Amino acid sequence: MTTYNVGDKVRVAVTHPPGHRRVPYYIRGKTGEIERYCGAFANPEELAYGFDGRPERPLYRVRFMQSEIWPDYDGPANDSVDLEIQEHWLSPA
Amino acid sequence: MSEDRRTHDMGGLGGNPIEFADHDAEPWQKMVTAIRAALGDEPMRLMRVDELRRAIEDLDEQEYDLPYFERWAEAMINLMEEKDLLTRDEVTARMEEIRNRVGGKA
Repeated sequence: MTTYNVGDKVRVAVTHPPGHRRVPYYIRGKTGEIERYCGAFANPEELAYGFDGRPERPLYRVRFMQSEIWPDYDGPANDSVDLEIQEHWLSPA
Repeated sequence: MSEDRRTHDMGGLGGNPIEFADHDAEPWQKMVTAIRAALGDEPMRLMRVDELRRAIEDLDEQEYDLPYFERWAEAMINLMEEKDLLTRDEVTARMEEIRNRVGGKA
């Protein structure tokens, strides 16, 4: 069971907890669109400390427009960047 | 840079030009890769790749500027200490022993 479907708009959480996080700083707070569901995976934020990372969590590939991420982006308007992000970092946008 | 942002998390920050020249791995770099496999893969599985990544990110800013494979080596020593498997002193002593055995060439 997944919360999001392809095409849904999602926003990445703005939070900076200490520790191993897979969501880069530059994408936090940005809005993108679900490009695909990648499957459910153990949480690497827990695996990084030797725990089992269970239960597995849904992972999505999320597409962001470059022009919305970088204020001075001067490439083609349809350039995008895709990041794979686990569900607990996303909320509906 | 925000205080929230960790040293390794540099996406979007200015950087130095990328060097595109191809080069072979030095023997010691291959050795570090072999040690990574010996520690991390079956049958030992003493550490996961996620743990190694985390240990690399936990290096202080100065250590993080080390070349790629030195970063790995430092992080693996820290992980072995964290897991009470080896101490840094034991690793250093062993390196010294090997250096003497090969006549100071390592």
